[in-house]
Amino acid sequence: MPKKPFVPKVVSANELHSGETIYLTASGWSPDIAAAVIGFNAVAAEGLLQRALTEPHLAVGPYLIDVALSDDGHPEPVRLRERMRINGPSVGALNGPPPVSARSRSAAA
Amino acid sequence: MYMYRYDEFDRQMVRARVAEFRSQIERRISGALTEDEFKPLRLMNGLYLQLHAYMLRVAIPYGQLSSRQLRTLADIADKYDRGYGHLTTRQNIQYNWPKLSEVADILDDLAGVEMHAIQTSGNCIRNVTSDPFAGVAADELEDPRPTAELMRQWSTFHPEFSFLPRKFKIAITGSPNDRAAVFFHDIGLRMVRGANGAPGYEVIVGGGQGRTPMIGKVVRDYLPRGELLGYLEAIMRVYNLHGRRDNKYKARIKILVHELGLEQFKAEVEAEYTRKPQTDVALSEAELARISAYFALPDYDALPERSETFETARASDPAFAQWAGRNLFTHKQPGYAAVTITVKRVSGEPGDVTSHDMRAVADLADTYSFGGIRVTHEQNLVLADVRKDDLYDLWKGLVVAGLADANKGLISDIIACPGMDYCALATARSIPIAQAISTRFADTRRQEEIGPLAIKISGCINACGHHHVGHIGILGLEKAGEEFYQITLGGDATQTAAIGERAGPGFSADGVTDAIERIVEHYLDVRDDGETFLETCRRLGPETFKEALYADH
Repeated sequence: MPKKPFVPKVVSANELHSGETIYLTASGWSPDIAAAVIGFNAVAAEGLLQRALTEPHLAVGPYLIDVALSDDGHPEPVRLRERMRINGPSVGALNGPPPVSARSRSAAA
Repeated sequence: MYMYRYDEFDRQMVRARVAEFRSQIERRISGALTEDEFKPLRLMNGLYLQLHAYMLRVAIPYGQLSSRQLRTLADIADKYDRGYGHLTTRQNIQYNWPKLSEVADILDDLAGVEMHAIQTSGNCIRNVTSDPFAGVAADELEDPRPTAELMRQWSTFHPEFSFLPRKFKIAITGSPNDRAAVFFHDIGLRMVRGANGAPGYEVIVGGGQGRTPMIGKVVRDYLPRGELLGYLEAIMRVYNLHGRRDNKYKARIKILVHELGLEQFKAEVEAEYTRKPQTDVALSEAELARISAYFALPDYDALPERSETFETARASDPAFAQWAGRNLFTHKQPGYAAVTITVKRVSGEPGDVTSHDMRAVADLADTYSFGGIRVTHEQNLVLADVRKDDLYDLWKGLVVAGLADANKGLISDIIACPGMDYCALATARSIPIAQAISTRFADTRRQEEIGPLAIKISGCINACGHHHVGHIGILGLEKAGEEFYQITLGGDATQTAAIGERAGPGFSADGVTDAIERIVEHYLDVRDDGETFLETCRRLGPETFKEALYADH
């Protein structure tokens, strides 16, 4: 059976104080997935995760998520759950402003 | 307000717990504690980490609140959160957006009104739940709240039962008409009378939902009242000893009861019960009387059962009549009624209450219901002690507050878990499905024509939205990156307990509402006069709906 092609990955976590969705960047963490550094192979992805694990006081529960690349090269989550984490709840005028990640993403769009 | 009040020991215990957790949070923020070290500590204090934020679940013992407590919950929503909370299927309330550094302040505010977040998460005995009409229901054998409070005091911080194989949920009903889903709890209790008329309990063990739904099994037809805690300890010991700890999906007591078999499980419990002297937890009548005193009847007026004021208003105002026909419950005190305030607005989020809602209900409770409010496991609120003479004025107050939906028990009175809009475990969204269904069936006349119909929606297999016991259950899953929804039929959370049967292949998010409508239309076609959906489903079998459901699918 042919080996499945590697799916690019980024590291995501929850920010310690707010619990907000964040992504590992080249220089730290950002709520904007567009700023995330991408692991294009298994070794690189694992290296990113190991780097993330050295900063447990900033980011809770870092893990790798599968991403696809948009036409402009930005990573976009493959799974529904991760898309929800970017956009915030889909319901409720009660929820106030969407998380920073969604705002910065729409501002960039 | 007639409810349990803290003594000095309770106050000190809760304050000490808040101070301890404040220190733990500070150590987590400083980096002195890792997340692995902190997680079990925060879970002992009701603090979860969800998809977008922390979530704090606040305990409401057996769903009872005072208006003062509800106002504090509103203040917390405004001060620390986004102005709303979410009523849960275990009669609690949870906040979706607290900041870690502010959680101890929230808990301090809660402690100021005798509240906390203890026993709302972790592998302990969770907050005990009960009938939202406890103490006032006309069909009640006995008020279950003193027993619920007794179990709360016994279970809180019980050293032997703080690290169980898995979480453990207890529910109790004092009525033969089960409104507490006792057959779907780890332990369910029904208050009964013995052959000599002495009060006691029928003890049901091993019910639950989740990925392995099971109806609880009776292990004792009659347990004398004074033996309750000793017998519960025997059950807990058997579970603690034999319950699986190697696989969290097989760790609930329902799996143990199933694997041992009922007779073997009963034998183990009875052996344990016989082995250990029960004198240390035997319940004295004096202690029960002390607790029961907190739940003494309010100072009711002596009234005739029939209220001319109420009857006149009902005859002249069709909207009030519709609400009164649907949202009132028979009170045991002549001239009074219990009122359900459904938190199921058309296109709304089931169970979400704004701070405005909370303050409005608190004010109405003070004016019309001795300052007391109950949270129901169906994610609604109850004012339990309203004079029939006052119902019209109360209803007008609810209309002003936007809380007068006349849909108790109807198709739009939907239970829905937070689903993937909030929950880290979810595989699909629940709330938008509930919104779409309530929008489709917004016409209250159509809802009345359909009659009692409980739709319950879960966003994953863990079944927090109770889909297994929905007359129509909806389970959200993810397939190839998209949400899809399985439908079950014929579930029942009451004394005629049943687990719903899967109807067939699932539906896309866009297709669910149409599917529900096809089921409902078929039911209207085939039902006998006066027959409810559940009765039709039982008479004809769930398969009767399959042809209608998949005809154009």
